[in-house]
Amino acid sequence: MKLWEYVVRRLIALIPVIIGVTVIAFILWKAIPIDPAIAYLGPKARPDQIAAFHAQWHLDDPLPSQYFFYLGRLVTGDWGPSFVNHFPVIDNLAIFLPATMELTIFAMVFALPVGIYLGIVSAMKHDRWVDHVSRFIAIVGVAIPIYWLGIMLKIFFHENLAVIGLNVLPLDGRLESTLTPPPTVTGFYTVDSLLALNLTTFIDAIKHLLLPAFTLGFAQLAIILRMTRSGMLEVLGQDFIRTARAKGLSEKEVVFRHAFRNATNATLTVSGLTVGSAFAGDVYVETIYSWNGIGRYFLQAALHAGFTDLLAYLFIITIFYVSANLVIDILYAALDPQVRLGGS
Amino acid sequence: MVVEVEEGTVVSLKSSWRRFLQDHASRISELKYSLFLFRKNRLAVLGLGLILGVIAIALLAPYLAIDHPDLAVINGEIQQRWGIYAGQEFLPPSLGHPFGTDNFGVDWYSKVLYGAGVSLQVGLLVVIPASLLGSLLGLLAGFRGGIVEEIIMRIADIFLSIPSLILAIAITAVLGRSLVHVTYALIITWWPWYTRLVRGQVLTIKERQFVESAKSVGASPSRLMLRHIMPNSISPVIVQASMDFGYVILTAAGLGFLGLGAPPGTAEWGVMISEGINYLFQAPWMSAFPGLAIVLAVLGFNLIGDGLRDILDPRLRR
Amino acid sequence: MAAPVVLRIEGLKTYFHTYEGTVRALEGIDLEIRAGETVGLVGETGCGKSVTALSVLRLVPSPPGKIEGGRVFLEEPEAVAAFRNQYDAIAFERLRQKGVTESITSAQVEEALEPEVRELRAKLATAKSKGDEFRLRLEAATSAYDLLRKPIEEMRAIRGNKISMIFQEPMTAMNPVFTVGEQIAETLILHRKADLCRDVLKAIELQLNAKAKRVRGKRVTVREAKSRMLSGRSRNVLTQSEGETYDGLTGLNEEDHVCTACYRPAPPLWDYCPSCGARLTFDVWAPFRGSITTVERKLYSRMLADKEDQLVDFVDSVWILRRLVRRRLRDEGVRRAVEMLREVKIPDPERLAARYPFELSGGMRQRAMIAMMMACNPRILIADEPTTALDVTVEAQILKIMRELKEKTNMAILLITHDLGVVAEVCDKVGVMYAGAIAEFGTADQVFRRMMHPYTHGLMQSIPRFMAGASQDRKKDLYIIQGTVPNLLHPPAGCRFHPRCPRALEKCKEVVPILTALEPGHLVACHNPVPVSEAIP
Repeated sequence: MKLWEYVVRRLIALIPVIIGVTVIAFILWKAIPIDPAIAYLGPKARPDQIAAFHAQWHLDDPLPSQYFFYLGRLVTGDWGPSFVNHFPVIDNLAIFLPATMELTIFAMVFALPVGIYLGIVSAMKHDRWVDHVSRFIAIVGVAIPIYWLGIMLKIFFHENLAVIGLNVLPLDGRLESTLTPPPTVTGFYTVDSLLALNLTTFIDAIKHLLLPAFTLGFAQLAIILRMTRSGMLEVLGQDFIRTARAKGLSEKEVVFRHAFRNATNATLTVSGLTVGSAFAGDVYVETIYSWNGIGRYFLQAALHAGFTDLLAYLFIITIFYVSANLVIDILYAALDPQVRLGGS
Repeated sequence: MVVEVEEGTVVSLKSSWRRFLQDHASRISELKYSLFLFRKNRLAVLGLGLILGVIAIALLAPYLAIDHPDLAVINGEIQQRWGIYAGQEFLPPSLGHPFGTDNFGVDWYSKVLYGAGVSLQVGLLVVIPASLLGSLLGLLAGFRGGIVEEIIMRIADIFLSIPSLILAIAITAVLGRSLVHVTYALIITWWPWYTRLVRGQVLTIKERQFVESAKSVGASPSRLMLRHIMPNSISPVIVQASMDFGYVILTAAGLGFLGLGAPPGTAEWGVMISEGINYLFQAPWMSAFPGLAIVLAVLGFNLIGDGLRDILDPRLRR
Repeated sequence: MAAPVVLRIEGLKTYFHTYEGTVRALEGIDLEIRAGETVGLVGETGCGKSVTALSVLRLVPSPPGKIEGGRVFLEEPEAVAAFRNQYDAIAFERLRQKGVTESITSAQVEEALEPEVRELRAKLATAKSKGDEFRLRLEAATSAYDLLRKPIEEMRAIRGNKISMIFQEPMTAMNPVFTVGEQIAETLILHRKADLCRDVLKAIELQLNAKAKRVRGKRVTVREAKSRMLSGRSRNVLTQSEGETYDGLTGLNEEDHVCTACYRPAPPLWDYCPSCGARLTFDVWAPFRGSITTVERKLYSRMLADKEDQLVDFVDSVWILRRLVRRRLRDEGVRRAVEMLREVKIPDPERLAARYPFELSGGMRQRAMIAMMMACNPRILIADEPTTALDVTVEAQILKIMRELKEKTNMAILLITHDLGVVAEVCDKVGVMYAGAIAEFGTADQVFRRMMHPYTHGLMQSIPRFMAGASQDRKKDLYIIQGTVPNLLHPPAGCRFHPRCPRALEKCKEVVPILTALEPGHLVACHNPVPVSEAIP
């Protein structure tokens, strides 16, 4: 089966899943005991306001037609007003989504290469100090709560380094309050400030990114390292590695060319998981570092029972998560001929 | 000791016990070998030590703590109420207060001790139902196949498409903040992993030769399922469940941290960390110590899970 | 004159240091293999046959395993060997006085010969023209041809190149994510890079010529080509003639592919025509192709001229550049791989080279392995149970291929197996191993007909036979050698076979027997060998 046929098949398989998610989101929303009208308008809403709200949002229709109404709005992009700040949800997302993406991308750019490289090296140099350090990170790293790590980092970088006079890293937000954000092209403060040729803003944005990205990335790094290492160890025990050595290849060639190509399976699997856990971690990191991203937005929406926000958020998240997994499946097929050609 | 069963028949309990040991001799020797392997794995033993420590703390908290809460029933739930000790706020760690005190002057060390029990309880109440439910569904799906499998796996996939924490937050937000609701939310979040795991195992095992042999001797489907397929599918479930214990504690504390779990003031590690944020630079110990406790507990479960995985892996035995 | 010695193993000792103790896998193996010979190494499972092979190539997994002693000489010239015998005698005497008697390493020998070595070095430095003899003597004294003392880079140059090894399980021996052709080509790129560079340069010249003359072609089947000629559509750029007749196409199958520019064969793997250089596949970079190719030519000439060239190193270090540039090497490698595949009688080798290992059957995979390991014409091929995992009919084919290749290149083969029937058919000489030592060694005739070691005797007797009309024989029990293979953690003292030996003497429990020649070319390690009269027909 060709690669693009595989892709199309997977895309088609996605549709029922996405629909399922919308169903779940809908059920969750409907399960909220609070009247959405009151949640939005506040406790002092008058009955006629409430009735108007109900009419506008079809809140008194039978459930199935409410669902289709909601689905329709979802598809057409009319995602309604936010319960958190009464702006349109779309506008909120337009600001918050890039913020989270910037953070997550930075975190993954840190976590993926370092995790994979350490995983490979520690499998190669089994039982040397690199291996011990990596195993320590792998074991302890997944046990450290992200929220706690973030707080500890804040304490450390505030207290200790200020004592030394090295109050280097900012602790909150995306930019110093004295600086204005660059004109929005992508929503990424780093990219936009580069595009606007504003070096000070760029550097400041990077500085603000460091701690949150590290906090978020560290947990992912531990998982990636662990899986890569175990995948590599398994591959290194196989026969064709011995054949490769018997051909006269150097250790580096054997490990990085022959072994790693076969271990990508494990690494890819875990990368898919890390996307999911990155979204989860986002919630914590954004709360701790006062980062204006969708994670924090989602939390506030949850606390306010804001169904428009919640539904939009769940939808977006699912799309991302599912696309990431799709990309990973494609990579599986691209890297492993057995998947493509249907081998044993 | 001799028990007379029938006239003329004399059965001794001792010989029955001996026969039981004989019948199960190979299983017992396997068990002994497993214990030996476990002891050899130092990390696993460390994990076991950590967990036993946590359990001990949870059980002995009333005896080990300095301050104690009153238990009150509010809104149908048992809640903790800790006292207020004026004049003792924000004491740094010292001999009298190993972990310092909080903004109410409550001894933080005591709260951490009590928190152990809360977290363990949540872990137990989530992992056991979720693993049982998930495994059963997985067995069903793998074994039955066909439309049953399709439906179960599709539902599991849908749940798995939403990151666990997000789903848990959403559910808890819907149900209202309380520790009990957190438990429900986590069960709902966690069961699909077991379903997927067990179904995969069942599918693999179904293809293996010994199942063919059992079928060819005429074993019935339920016998196949119970006596042949299930025991072999269990080991990954056990490994996963022991590691999940830790992750559940982690996530439950996370929900507490976000304000979705136990009410403020409860001795729950996550809640305690979030309280510490407000006084981050005055009293850093408030956030530090509960987090440390979480790390140790999760670490313990992870190590045990890893150790179990190594032991149960048939390739590594012998 | 006897064929030169390709491999000489002396006193090879390999131990495995495990948690439960030290497994003495090899206790002083002595073996000699000459060019063109097929030497069989037989023994039961666990006697150390594979460990011997791995030790020669130094592929023993190093955390538990370690080569503790001995020397392995590869292609030592006769002259050096002669000198070495002299020096060894001196060295062994000196070492014996210090108490070192077995499994001597070349480092120990060199140390023992320290005064001689120093003298030789001095003489070599001063003597200019007559230095040859001193150089040979120096090589002998320092055991220069000993594989076990070579640095690992030299070993790598030898693996797959001078000594090749094929393994037992063809199903898992190849990397599943690379095509067969690529994996064979890898060997060539490693060890024959100069030749490949030359091929690449030739191909580049051809293509540049074709581009200059604006020769354009497509790949078509012979049938299509014929129809083109008939319909008058063909216009051969090279000869500028129209309506070419198809003389050149006679002798080709209908399904073969030819290039429309020159009507010569152009198999599927070629993206340019080997005869005229026309580009046969669609070229995305067509407008830049000329400059790209010129740059490639420069790079490859540099690669050919100087291994450490800076430009080449730079390209090698940037991953994407490296891949782009090395593509040509790989393509030429794959083409040579196709030739190798043809040698091992694989049908339709071009198509097979593009396949992945999991798409091939066991027999095909083993043939591909042979092709891979023979690609650089090794001096000796070590085959570790190559046919054990295959059907008998496939086994016969594989053995036949090995023999043909051996005859073509005068290669030696060390065939490790536990199948005595294969050995009897294929091998010139046989070594019988037991529990980490050679029990008996000689020609096939000597070992099978006039065996002297009780273990060999027992092995031959335990082969079940069908004899016509021997109904009374059928009622006899199958002969077995009493006892089991010893635990190599705690091997028996003295001769390792003595607990199971029907001819054991008191001496056997204490003294380890040494391999001695009881007949010309027939060596036995036994204190009480089987007399000729008891030989089995």
